Amino acid sequence: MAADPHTGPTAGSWSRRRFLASGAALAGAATLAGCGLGRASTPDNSAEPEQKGNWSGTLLDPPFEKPDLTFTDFDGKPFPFLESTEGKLTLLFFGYTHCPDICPVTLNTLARAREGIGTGPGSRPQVLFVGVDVARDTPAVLKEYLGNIDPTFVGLTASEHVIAEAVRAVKGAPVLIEEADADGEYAVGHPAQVTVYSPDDLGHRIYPSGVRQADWVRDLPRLAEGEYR
Amino acid sequence: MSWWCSSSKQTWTWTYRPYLGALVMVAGLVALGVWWARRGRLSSASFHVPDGVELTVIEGTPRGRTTAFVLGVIGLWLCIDWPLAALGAGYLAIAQMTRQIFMVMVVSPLLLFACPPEMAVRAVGWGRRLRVLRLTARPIFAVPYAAITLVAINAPAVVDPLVATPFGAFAMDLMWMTAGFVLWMPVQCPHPGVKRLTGVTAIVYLIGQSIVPVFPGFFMTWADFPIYSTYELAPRVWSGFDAVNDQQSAAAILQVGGMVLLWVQIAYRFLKWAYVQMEESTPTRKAMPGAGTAAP
Repeated sequence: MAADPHTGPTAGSWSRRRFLASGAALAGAATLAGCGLGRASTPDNSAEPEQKGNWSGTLLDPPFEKPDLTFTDFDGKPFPFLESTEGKLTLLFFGYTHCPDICPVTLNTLARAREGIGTGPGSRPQVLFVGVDVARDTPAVLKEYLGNIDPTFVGLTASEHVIAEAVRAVKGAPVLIEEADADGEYAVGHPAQVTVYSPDDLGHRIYPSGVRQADWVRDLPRLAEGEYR
Repeated sequence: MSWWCSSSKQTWTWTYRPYLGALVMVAGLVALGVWWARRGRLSSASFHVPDGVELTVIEGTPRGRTTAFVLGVIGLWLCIDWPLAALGAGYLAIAQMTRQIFMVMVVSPLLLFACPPEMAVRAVGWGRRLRVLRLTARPIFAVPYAAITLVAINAPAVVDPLVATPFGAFAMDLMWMTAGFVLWMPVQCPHPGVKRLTGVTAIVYLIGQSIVPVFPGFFMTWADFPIYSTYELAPRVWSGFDAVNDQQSAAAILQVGGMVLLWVQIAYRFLKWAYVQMEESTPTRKAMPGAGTAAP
């Protein structure tokens, strides 16, 4: 030890009590500041999924009818919605390929959940991704985008009018294309929920953004077998 | 400006964001170090010792302490400020585990080593607070406290709500640092009135502590789905690096990284102990210069 331990106290101008009191005051100020400044970053919990009866998502009562619309799929072929989804467990999601957050998270969550189910009921849902940014979400772009996430997912496009009709059919928020910035980039407002059509061709549940893989793995097999409540 | 890095659910950008709490904490530590050095206490401080108190020899030179202090403060700053803390709080489990391991296994022992015994005596004294400090420096307290804290603060039920707010994220970082200090206290306590574990007992103690990260790491490695909703539902920082990859990489950092850092220090202590043993046996050999030579 460098110091002589028996040379007596060297308290100086700061006593031990003042030393500790200053530290406590600093910690208290920090805590109060933490409470006050925290509001700006508090996350929006409005998108949390509703949990009722061991289901995620929200039960639709009355259920949604399927829209009688024709899209174009990512191979450039017509995709009549009613005929192409008849009798199948179908998940309909509106988004855009330049989306930085909700779309990739939702699609990746669905893809990983599908892998998690493995085989059996619910393992092969028809996942339809409608690209609402018609200028950029061309069939080729949709194909490449979804191919990187899950090649079984189907990309759809259509005219703005058809897309608006489809959004209305699921009571989603209207598509809103924002002003482009100096680099030509722009954000697109779109419905964030996934609408699930059961094999009875009715939409019985919608799932907001924020549903987790484990929740999809629990719900999809039951939905595929016709359960929804 | 926010107080502390927390989960924002916004798209990650590499644009610097200041965090007031991190700057205040680092500035406070630097101010404390500068104040101590300017008063000339690095080399000439002293303290009163009550009669009958057996002092522990605290190793370390002023230069060594200064180096440890500088490294500890820089390490702490890297851990609690942008970008690592922001990534860890809301985007990547690997960033959060890197922070945790670094704060517990590197920053905490560096700051304990950097603390001069005179400062520890000034802060704790020789009375009731010293009795509390002696308790925390006993393995019977330190082992379960550090283990329970480190396992609990990796539980999803704790992590997800805490990282959602600046105050919660701040509390979690404080818990990490506290767990780090308690973990290292039995072998690195800066107060001369507290007995330290040395030699083989210190090595055995640290080996015991190296087992702790295995438990949370096990669940993170083998869970079927992402266990933290924060990282599962966060906007991706790198495309192709999904939540499960992130979680499994974080588990590797927790288990392998934590163990490597701990075992480096175990190896250092072992070599030092072995060197001392050899030094102690050297005079015996030198005292027998003719040993082994044949008699004429």
